[in-house]
Amino acid sequence: MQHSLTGRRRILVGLSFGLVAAAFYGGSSVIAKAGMTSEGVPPLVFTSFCFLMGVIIISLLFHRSFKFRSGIPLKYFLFIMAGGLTSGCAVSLLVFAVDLAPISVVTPIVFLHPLVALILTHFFLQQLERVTPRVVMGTLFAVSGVILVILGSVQL
Amino acid sequence: MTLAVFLSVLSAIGFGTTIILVRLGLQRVPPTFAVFISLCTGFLLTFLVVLALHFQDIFELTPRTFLWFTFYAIITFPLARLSNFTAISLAGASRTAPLLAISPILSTVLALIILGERPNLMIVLGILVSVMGMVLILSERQSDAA
Repeated sequence: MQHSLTGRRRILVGLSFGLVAAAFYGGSSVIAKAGMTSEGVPPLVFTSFCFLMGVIIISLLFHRSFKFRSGIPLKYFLFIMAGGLTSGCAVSLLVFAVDLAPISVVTPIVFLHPLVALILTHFFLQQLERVTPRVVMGTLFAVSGVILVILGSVQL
Repeated sequence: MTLAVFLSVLSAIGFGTTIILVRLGLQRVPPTFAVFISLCTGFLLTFLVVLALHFQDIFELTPRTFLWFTFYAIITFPLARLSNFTAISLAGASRTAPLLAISPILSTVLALIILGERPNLMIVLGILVSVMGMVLILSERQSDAA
């Protein structure tokens, strides 16, 4: 990606976007639960049609910036497509798992995914970024805290 | 139960792998177009599963249900996912992944505020531990190699 930000400032701006994303994801899960409960729609149907609405909304908002893509090698598009597939698989597997076991069992396991990302980063993204001890510790704390909150919420 | 745990582990691997693949693609593909591509592939995959398992449910969808889809999609894709992809491209996969994982904490805090419930000790402890994790990640001083 081409951008003018560099070094620590770039990382801080990125982390700010990450917090914004987490806030919207937090809000969206509340909306999803309310929508599925109110309309009696199966989770997978809800997810799939939301993807479709997402395609339409993103196309309407950003179609002007989709034009000049000839200079980008195909493999980068394939990475993103593969990411879309793994994301779709992960969501589907999550839905099936929640159907078979209590949410208090499933979600703490699923929220271990930052640790998976950390391990994969170490092995596959060595040329792009370094996994430092501080990031490892921070991830372990964050994931532990999330699991405690999920288990605590189940008891409410 | 064992199958559910197995599926959950696979789901966690799927979410973790997604972050890495997106990070690789975002080296050259702009975040807005990456969101579009990932949504198209995600839709095609989930829609095939829906056709196989919930074919009849499609015909029971009402215009009101589509309003819920639209509302959810507006919050999740141009806002959450685009911010997520921008974060991954700027700060990297390893720093962004744990930040995104705190979304259940934000929704729990939101629910506690809206519903006026008192958090138990485990929730308070969980929030404190997560905040410590965030502070550790945000105070990281090293920049990326690239």
